[in-house]
Amino acid sequence: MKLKELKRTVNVSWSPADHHPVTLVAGSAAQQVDASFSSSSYLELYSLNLEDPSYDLKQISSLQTQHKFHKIEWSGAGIIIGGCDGGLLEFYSAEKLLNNASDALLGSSTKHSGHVSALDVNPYQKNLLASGASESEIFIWDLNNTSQPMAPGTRSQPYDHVQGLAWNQQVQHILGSTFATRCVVWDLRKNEPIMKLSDSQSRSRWRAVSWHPGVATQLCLASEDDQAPVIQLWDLRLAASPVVSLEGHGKGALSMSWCAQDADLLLSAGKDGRVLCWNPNTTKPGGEVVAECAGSAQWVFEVRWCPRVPALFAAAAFDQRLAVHSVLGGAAADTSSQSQSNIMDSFGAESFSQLPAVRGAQGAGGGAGAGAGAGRGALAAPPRWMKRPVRANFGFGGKLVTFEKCPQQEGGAQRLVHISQVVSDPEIVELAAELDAVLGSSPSQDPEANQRLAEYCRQRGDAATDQNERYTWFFLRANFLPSFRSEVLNLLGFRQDEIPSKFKTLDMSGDEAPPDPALPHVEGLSLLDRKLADVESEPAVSDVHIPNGDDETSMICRALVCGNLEEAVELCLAAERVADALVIASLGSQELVYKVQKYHLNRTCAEPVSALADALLAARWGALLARTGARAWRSVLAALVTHCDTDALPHYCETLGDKLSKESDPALVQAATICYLCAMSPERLARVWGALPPRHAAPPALLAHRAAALRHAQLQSGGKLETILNEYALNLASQGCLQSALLAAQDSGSDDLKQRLQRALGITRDPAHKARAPAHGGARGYGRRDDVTAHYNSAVPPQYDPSPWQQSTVSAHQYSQPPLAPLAPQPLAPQTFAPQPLAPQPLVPQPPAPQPPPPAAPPRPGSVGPTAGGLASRSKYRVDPSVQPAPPCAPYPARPYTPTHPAVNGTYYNPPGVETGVPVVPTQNKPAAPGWNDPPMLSSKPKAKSETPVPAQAPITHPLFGVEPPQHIPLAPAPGQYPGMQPGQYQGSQFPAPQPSVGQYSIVQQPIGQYPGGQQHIGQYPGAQQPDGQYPGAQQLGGQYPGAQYPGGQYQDQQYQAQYPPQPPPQQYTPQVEPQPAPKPPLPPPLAALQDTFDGLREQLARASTSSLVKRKLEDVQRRLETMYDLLREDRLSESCVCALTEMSACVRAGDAGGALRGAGALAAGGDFAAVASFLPGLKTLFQLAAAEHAPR
Amino acid sequence: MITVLNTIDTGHEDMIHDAELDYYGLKLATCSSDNSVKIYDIKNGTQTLAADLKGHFGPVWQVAWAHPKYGNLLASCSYDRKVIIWKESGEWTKLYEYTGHESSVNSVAWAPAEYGLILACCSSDGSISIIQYSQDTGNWDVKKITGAHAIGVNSISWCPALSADLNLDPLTNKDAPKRLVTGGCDNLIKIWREQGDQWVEENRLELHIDWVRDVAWAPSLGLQRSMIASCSQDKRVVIWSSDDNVSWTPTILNTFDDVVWSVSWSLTGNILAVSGGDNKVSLWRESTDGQWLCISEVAKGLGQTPNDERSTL
Repeated sequence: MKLKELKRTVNVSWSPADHHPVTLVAGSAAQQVDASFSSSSYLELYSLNLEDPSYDLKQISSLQTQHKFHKIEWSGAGIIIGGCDGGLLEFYSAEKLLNNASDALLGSSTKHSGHVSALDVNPYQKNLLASGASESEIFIWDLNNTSQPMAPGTRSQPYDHVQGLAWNQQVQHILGSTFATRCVVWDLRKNEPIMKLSDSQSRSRWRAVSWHPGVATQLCLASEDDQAPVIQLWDLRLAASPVVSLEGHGKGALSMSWCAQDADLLLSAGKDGRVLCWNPNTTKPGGEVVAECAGSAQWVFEVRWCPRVPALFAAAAFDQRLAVHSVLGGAAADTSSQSQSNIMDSFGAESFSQLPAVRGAQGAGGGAGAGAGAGRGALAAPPRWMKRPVRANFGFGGKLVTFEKCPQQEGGAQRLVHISQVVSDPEIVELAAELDAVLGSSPSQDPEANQRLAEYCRQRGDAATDQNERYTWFFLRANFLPSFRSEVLNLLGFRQDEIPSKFKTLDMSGDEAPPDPALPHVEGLSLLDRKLADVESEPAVSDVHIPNGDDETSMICRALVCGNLEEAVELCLAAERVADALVIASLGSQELVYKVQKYHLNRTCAEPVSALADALLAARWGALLARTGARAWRSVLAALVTHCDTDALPHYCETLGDKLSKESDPALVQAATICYLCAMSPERLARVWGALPPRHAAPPALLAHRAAALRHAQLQSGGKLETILNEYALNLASQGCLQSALLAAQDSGSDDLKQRLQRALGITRDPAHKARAPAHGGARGYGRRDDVTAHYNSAVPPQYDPSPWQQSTVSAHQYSQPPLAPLAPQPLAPQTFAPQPLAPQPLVPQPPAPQPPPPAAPPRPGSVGPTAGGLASRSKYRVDPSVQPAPPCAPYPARPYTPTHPAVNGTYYNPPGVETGVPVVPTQNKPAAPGWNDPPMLSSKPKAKSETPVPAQAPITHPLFGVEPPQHIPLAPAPGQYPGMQPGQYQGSQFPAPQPSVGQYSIVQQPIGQYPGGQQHIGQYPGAQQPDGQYPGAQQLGGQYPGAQYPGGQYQDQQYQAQYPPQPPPQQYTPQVEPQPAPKPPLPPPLAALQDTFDGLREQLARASTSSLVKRKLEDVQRRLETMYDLLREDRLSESCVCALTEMSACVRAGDAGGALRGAGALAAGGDFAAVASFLPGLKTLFQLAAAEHAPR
Repeated sequence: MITVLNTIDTGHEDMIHDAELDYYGLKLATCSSDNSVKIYDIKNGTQTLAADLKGHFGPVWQVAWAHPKYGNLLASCSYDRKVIIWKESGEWTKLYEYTGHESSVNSVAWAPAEYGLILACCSSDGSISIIQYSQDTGNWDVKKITGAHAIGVNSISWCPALSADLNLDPLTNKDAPKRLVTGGCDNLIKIWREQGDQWVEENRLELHIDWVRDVAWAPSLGLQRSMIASCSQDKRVVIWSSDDNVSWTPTILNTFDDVVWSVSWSLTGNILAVSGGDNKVSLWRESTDGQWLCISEVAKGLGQTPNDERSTL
């Protein structure tokens, strides 16, 4: 393919190989004239100008010279040599020419006679020039000193014109020379010709000589005789005759060039105007033309490979054309006509345009030209420089594919390909191995999993040198411990066993907020006990005078005496007697107490104690966060951890963290991380860790992800955490740790990567198939295969929750469900599952059914065991397939961890009476109220079962046979109330009421709703309440999981018994009868409307609220409402009362929460107080909340 | 740190020019001057020949696997001026043959899968073809950049779909352009950007003083910026980096003892494998202070040190 063109008749030479950029030197050819018969001569430099798609070479410089040239040579020594007529040799400085300097001519010599048409520069010593002219004169010049050329020996006889000279390419002191009839090879060390080649067979007239680039003893000779236009390859070792004759030119060959980069390529040009490319190394008779590269209408008198760019050669012809071609063929740029005309213009001679155009390569010589080669003018086989001998390619998983030139068979077959594993980062591989060990099994499969995670965190924390890092790990660790809260408190420096001493010491640590007095609850009791040891003993005071004057005390006393509590309170407050006011207010309504409390707290809000107390009073943690300074974060966080329930904790911790992260003090910013760790808000953490290098960010991120799953934090897909994990997984994959990568990837969201890893590991086979395949089947099938794949596979179905352990539970459910389903209609189903040995008859058919899931079953008990708190495991139980779409975690966490102190909760917030009323209000367990904040039982399996046969709203009606009507014992101390209700609870949960007796049933329900978890913690109400709520569910599944595997449950049972021995012996109930079918009779229509309204409002609020406080309030409201409904059902409320309720409901429907509230107030003031006391606070709370919501309807 | 997992005797009868693992690392394709393409199934250190594809009539320079979401597709390019796309559906067959070049096709590269099924190839005729499969018509539509590099284009590589580019996510933002980088015999590296219907030259990177043998755009995963590695006949490897894909800063990674033939990024884009004419493969990683360090030299052929080999040569 022709690339460039110059419309001159010139001798040409390329810049040497090490010269960049590639440059051409062109000197006007001697014995040639142009159309204008101009005799002026130029020596010009051109750059290739390849960026320009036109044919134009770009002229760098032009120097007018006195003589035209027969030959031009560019030496690597920076000198351009020109051979001229009259024995003249001229030496030019290449550098000066490049700079277009006019004094580029360095010198000249006329030692030769005749025209100097043979020049060559030694390839090894670039300052050695050989020149030849008439009379067999050959000189060797040192270009550094051109005064004294030497001869290579005595002149060759007979004297003849030296046609060509060529230095050997391998042996630097060997020079070849051609005369018309012979070729003489000189050895410069010996200063004599060592070989004379002549072909007596042919009438060749030698013109050009060229040495083999690689084989020192081979050379080619070109004959310019038109009768014998041959090129012969000679080997000096067999000098009698040529090795091969290359016959292709139609007329004499004038020039040759052997490609230095590929010895299989020899260019020749001749009088026939053709430029042929030969493979002189084939022994094929007549030679092999691999391409006909260019053509001209006129003699092509010079052809030269570009020493630097192997694909290029220059060909100079007498048709006033110098062309640069590529041997690789291809389409010529179609700008030629344009550029040509430009050239014409620049020459100012129209006559040129009539010159014959360049002929295409017609009539190939040798016949091998086209073949399968790469197009016209291109080589049939690729030149060596195109053959990439080596390559290294990275593949997925850090695999490196390499192959190599086979040293033994240079250029020959090369067969081996290696696939290697590149591990560039051994540290991360080690890290992954460690992490795999702890993360490899999910809690559902391995009871030890959480312990191991915790242990790992401990190790990392111990190993960490950086204090912040230590904190990170230890707080992370806390997340895996069942005693999360106490652990966090410990870490925060509130060791519970040290509290007493802390009390003494903390006063001195000035800037810290005093510890929350309510915090060390248990220990606090003992302290309190000490202080109040004699509180019960009657103070020995007598003769107290009750004044009856006008002073404050008198006024207060008078108000008290008259029972005017509100007035007394007011007076006390006026007299700054806040304590008295509180005592007095506690005798009155809840509202009054509350107001006084608020009054006091608001007045003293700047004091730390008040700030904390205020927060505790109404769970106003937001306010606490806003009020306290950033430096008090430790105490605030401790308070949050102590008091907030599981739902609220993350939120407030996060808020605190956000606040801290805005601080400038780095210590506080670090504290923010701790807050986030307590909140287990992965996104916030990821934001912190995102700045770390992946290897530092990934381990905590992975663990945080685990912990978040454990604590049911919402994981935002596509979040920063995922990014970190994904990156980590990618890094692992790139180290070849595909399994570890998959483990990390399954915690993140990138399905692509997961799928890729699974495929690469051979876990999945056909991607398309897999994608469509029902994920479940896939997971199960693999799960059985073996251990290793098992846990990977649990993550296979991307549509599932990312946490594998949850999935396995899900599938367990699915296993168990089908067999259970048929039983569902039997109302007995749920309870009959109870693991008691007394398993009743109806059960018998069941055990076989649930058995099928052995593979899934084992993990289950395990998960329950270690997590004593039962957070994760339990929640899983509730992942009922039918319920699953709902956020599975939400309902649950609300309960079990609720750490609210009964004392606080009960006495402050709930009117005492409520507590008593509670046990009697047994309606919590209602399918009709699927509120997400309902106790866990609601969404659990048993209910789902029993639900089916029963009309949805049935349970609402709730007769109270055999149960005490709601009582109000407003002032009774909270603890005392509990024992009272225990029996019912006990019976209900553990020994399902055998009789269809509605009364029994109601008792059954009661514990569920009543004792919102939490107390479990405190120890006063040993775990039983909350588990009760849960265990019915668990036990229902007992068919599959023998009760023995629920140590927790049993333990609690025992504990329960121990603590409340007087309870009716459980045995009296035979557990065969299902209480469920006993629905409460519906309320009569007008009252049902009431119910609808209030329940509707409650549900609406519950949905709208995210605050755990509100939720708790609403639970209380619900209980009280149930009490009310029961009263209504039994018609135990007065007409006026019902009337007032109707009004309130009307207000509610009208969206007038204020009106409803006033109605409630009126009702309280009315004569029916005793009757309504059990539920009125609930109504009030409901209306207050509604009013606060500003959108009551 | 480098362990040979598989050694495959390919039985090729001439030089091997490329060997590439598929997306999952389960299949290996090799191509050779013996005009054939071979496919091996790789599993746990063993390999089985899955196919011996004969369809080219010249040395096959390079092979490229398409993303598996388009099926098992392999593209090969050859000195015979053709690009062949092979498809496995039970057996390996020729799916499409592209003959739009007038000289050796030196490199093929599939576009990021997100863009669709697009293949770019480049030729010694100096032009680049972008061949896109149209789902609607079932045809392969060709766009061609002529005169991309004088004397020839040696290598082509796509800008990853998710690159550091100006915060433009090409998947959601239609304005985010597709880009290609090519290296050629004009010693240049050129960056091409799709603009509407056209591909335009966006940038030319000049530093090499000899043929650019290979260019490789780094995968963007985990990188904050775009990087392109180029290697040349001038024995140098250059890393070009950019924050915006518009202005590029070169860093000379190293000057080697011999011509550098190929560069290949690890999939995370943090390791560069460089292979040179001296038969050596070296691995390079950028240190935190921006220095490129050789982390390993792969002694090819087990038990042979590079020095031994060189002396043999």
